[in-house]
Amino acid sequence: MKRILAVLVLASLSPLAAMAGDGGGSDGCGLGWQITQKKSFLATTTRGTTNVTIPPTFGMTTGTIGCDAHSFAVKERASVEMVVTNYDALKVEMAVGSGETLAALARTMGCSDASMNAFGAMTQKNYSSIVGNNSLEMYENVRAQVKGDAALSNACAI
Amino acid sequence: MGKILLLVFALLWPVFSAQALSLTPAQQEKVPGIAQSSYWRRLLHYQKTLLGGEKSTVDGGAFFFSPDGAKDPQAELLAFVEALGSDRKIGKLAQTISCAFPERTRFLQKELGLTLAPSSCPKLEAYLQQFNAASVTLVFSSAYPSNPGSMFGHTFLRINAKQGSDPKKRAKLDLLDYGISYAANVGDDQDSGIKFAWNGLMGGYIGQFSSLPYYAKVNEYNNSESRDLWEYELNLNEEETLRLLRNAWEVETNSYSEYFFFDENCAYQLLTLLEVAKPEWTISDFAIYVIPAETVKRVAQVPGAVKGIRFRPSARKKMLSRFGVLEKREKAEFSSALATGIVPSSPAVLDALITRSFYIKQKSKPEISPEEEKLLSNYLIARSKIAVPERPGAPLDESSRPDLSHNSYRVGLGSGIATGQRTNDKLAFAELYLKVAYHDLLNSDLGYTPFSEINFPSIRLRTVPKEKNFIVEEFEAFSIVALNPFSQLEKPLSWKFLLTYYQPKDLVNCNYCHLAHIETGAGASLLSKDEKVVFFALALAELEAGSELTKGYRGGPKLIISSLWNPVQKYKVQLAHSTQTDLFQSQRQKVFFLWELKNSYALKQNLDLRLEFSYLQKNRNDARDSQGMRVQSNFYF
Repeated sequence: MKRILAVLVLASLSPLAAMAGDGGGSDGCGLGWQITQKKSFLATTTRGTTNVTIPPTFGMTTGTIGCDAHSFAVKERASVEMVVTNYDALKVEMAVGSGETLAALARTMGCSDASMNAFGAMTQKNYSSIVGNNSLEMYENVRAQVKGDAALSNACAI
Repeated sequence: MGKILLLVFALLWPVFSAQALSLTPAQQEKVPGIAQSSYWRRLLHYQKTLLGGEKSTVDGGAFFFSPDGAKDPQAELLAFVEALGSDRKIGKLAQTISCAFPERTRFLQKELGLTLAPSSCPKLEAYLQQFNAASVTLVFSSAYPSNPGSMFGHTFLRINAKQGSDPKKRAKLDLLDYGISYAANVGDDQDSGIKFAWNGLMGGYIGQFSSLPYYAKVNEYNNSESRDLWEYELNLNEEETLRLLRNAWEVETNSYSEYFFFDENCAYQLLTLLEVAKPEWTISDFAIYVIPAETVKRVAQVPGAVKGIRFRPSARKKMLSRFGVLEKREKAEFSSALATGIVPSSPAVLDALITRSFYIKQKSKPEISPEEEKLLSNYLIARSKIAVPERPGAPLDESSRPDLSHNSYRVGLGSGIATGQRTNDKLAFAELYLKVAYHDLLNSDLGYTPFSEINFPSIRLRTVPKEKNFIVEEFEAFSIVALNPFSQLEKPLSWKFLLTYYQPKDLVNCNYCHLAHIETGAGASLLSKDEKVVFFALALAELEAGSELTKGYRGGPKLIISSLWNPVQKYKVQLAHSTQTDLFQSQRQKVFFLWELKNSYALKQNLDLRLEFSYLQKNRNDARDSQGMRVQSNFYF
């Protein structure tokens, strides 16, 4: 039964297979790097349910693969990974000064709930100098801004 | 004397402690009951087999301590208890047995009253701490745009974290929760499309549980793949969630299951985990296939199981929502900005342009052009200078919500009148229609990708009392249609594939013969302004084979032009015209036309009524024409 259905599915989808792309983070650092997206038509069809990923080893805490080459403190890794994985989405939220991803980033930097609005406003006001050429630069810029801002450096724990 | 005994005992202690854990007679008496209990069998991932027995779906031997562990719960229980006495290290993380199998240990310790030396499990603790579990949310990702095959969706779990102890940081930030997902591990090699599909379908990949922060999943589904996410917050408490996590640990750190697209897939594995968390739920008993959307429905139908539902729209829907709320002159500004590359100053227009570029960037392989990238960058910089919040978007299309969809198996009962095969009279007939899965163009689209069809397989049995007792009117092996309407923002392809075996109406000496038929091709669709009518045209290549055909085969190009109207949620009507050609037969009718008018009315979520008319028009005297009309009621289950 499985074989018959398999053949049928393949017969119909094979003429339309296009080729693969590859997604992931920018510099080999962080979680984005581990998510391989197969964009061929056939892959995306079965990906609907097979969900192609190369899972990080289950028993280990968040993947830090590739981050060793850069110098971040252990407690910064959660923030770094967040920025690397969500670089594009963060740009959009920073441009408007608020958003769920921004709030989550602030929390990973130890910021209090009450300071979230200020955090967002800060990223919008300094957008051009924060955005950087890649996600790691963005992280470092955000960190510098928070440290340099009296209220935020108080409210956050970096 | 006492000291000598003590010395002997001390020297022999390693021998004693390495021995099997032995059970008292009272404990032994309890064993059969516990072994047969549904909880123990769920921990072992037992599932009923076709022949009525039971077998674990876990395939790796290291999950079992008895050679018969996959089939004999009692043998497994006894072997496991025996092994608990030893201090050997096992599994992928070299843990002690009680750390590698914490849920089995906890359960048996409680049920049998075992006394075990306390131990620490640092890796298990670190894993559980990462989740900091309070409860569970079941997350469903809907189909890809333009891809009905992905209509099946995907499910994974998000483990809701407990609130921190710091009163200044109590807001629940879902993005920082961790998710558990079951997926096929395809390794580093990029299999070709076909090999990839074959392995996925036939168990050629190992399935693995993985855990990622929810923000990574949201980015992957909403953004990179532009799929909707539906979150179903489940009524699980902390202890239940921990049991689920411990059982996942047991499978993942010691063993594996082969991944089967159709039945032992992402959705199925989650159901088995939920059944460990909630012993009173029976939700994993699906026949033939496990479709993720159907599993969500199954959970949602358990009374009290779902506490709340939240929708996270795809990048594409966000774009449509931002664009949809623009006024007419703002839309003009939007178009002219795209045409000229000028950066507008209106924040609403900028937001629409940004979400559009963002959507395009996410789906571009491998990336957008440097010009597009520069434009997006300029839009973002311009927007950052305007400290104005985003305007609320146009209402989002929430019709992809899976628990509202019709079920996937179908039985139809129909009757009608059609031109006979042996005469040209119109004769009455009755039909039985059976379909295994899934969704056709005339079905209500609630919970499905609109304007999509995927059917496999179905059979239509007909009886024409005046001519023939019983005939297979059609056996449709596989049918897929994707209508992707053009819009101001996109111009995608629409396409169709059909493989079927049917009773043709145009052959003169056919007398209830059959032809195999295959067709495939592509075209374009347009949506009306009110988005209720889709017009489409498809150019296809068609091939048929059968002994009744002069050459044994015929075929050629085919053109379908159709409109499909969905004026209200429950009712759809389609008018279609096909021009079919036969390039290979010189004596026969070369071109013929088929008209179809189909109506569908959804009386309930799982009951609809169809009324269909067809007219096959001949254009030569030696050909046949044929007319038919059918009424059918369909039950979905």
